Amino acid sequence: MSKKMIVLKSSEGVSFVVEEAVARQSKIISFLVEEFPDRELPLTNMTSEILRKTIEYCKKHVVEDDGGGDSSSSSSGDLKEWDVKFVAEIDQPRLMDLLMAANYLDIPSLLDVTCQKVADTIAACNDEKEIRATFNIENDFTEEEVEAIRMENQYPI
Amino acid sequence: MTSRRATRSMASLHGNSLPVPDELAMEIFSRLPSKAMARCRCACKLWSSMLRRQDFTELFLTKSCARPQLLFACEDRSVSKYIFISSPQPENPEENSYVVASDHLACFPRSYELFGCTNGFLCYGAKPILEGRINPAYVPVICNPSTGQSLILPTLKSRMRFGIESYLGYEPIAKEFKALSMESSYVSGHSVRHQVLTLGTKKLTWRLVECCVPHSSSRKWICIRGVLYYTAAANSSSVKSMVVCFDLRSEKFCSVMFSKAMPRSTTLVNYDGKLGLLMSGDSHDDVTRATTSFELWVLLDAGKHEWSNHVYVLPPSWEDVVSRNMRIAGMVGVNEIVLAPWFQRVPSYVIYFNVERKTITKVGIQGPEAFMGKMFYTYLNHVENVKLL
Repeated sequence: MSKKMIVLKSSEGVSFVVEEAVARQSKIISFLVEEFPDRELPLTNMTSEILRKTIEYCKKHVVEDDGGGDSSSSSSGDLKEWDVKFVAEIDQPRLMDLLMAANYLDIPSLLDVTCQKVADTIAACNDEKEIRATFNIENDFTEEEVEAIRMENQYPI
Repeated sequence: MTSRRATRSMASLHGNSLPVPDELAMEIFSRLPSKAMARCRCACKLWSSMLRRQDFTELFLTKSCARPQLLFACEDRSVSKYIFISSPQPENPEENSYVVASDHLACFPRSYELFGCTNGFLCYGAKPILEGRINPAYVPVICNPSTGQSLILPTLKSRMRFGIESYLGYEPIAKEFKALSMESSYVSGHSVRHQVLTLGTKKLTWRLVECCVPHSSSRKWICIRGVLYYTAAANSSSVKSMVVCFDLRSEKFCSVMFSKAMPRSTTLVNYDGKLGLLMSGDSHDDVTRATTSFELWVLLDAGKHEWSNHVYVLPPSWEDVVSRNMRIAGMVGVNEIVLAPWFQRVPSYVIYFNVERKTITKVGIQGPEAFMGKMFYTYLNHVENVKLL
């Protein structure tokens, strides 16, 4: 049985031909395919790079429901491990783009792993200075203000 | 997580924040351990204000309620501090399982003892040193191990140093914490000078409230759905055979009679939103190796003093597992009674008695070094709350 394919178009106008079952993990695409069958779907706020990454994730996580099921052979433990590696290889700005893509396309599991990765990155910072450096945040506090907040949170050092 | 909003253009976003909409930023922040959250409050004004927003603290609390924790409070007498550490709370634990208490929460100066815990906040009594001298007046302190915040409440309308009880309740409609304190009268033995303080108000003040239920209060209490319950006796020399209920919204007291004297082991539990009194059976005062059953009395109707009674007979394996006097720590859900040794020192354990399957399971607690050789208490169903008072 030939698999139904759909076309997704990135902001640069690059077309990606994807199995429908893969793309349908996005609730938005799932909805659009039903409303507009046989149309290519423009994703104007998504770069080719991010779209490629998103598709890579969806391909790995697709669950075939036609009984064949050979492409969903990964166990949940393997998948978790794969997810960890998948987000570990992405740098901070692209991780944010991917998170936004997951949010926009409504792919709950991808949103979950990307949010968790960002949270882990924040948690791995040893102090607020490292957080600012990692996320390119300008310090708009005075020393006194930071001290006042520290007094509120009296953590043992 | 099904939130969806059209993505904003990256360039139009604040250069000071995560390049994501607020709801996603909050989703990310809600996954942080409390210590990292404290660091984020110092990162920039935008993050600091976001982490204080009520919608954020409520999101965090909702998530935290879905995964309650075991909270261990360690008294470090050498430095006069309480150290709080938490671990995941097992549900239906396997044989030979253990939890690792590793999340290092905050520590607070100690004095007197811990009174208890409501919605992530703990209450204890202190005698603070003011202007270089020891102020003899008793002062309740509210502290939150998740944020490290501690709030010394104003001195009570009292000159008493002993015989004072304080309770902490949460009123879910107005979303307010209220502390209730009272002292015991030398003359009558009754609790007198009941006073209430609403937390989160600009000027914290104790207000005297009227109580027309003569009773002698105790340190056994729980807050369920906006009502503070504590066990009490008709006067200081009689046995505990009543529960006093304080409605946090109306600030009115009432009492519920209990049909018999409550044994020393009695612990107040939240039984599916109702008050439960969990105690050793067979008129035993304590929970020991010789205990054969537990009794659970659930308050059905406070107005009619109506209780339902469940008896849970222990399986024979109880004797093999239990060697010391135990304290009822509480219940996880409605099927698991959790017990902790009276005197807990690392390495320690808790015991789960599943009343449905009739199984006894010992769960080891692997504590960090801070606990080594020290005494500690176990609180069940602890939720992390990052609200700042």
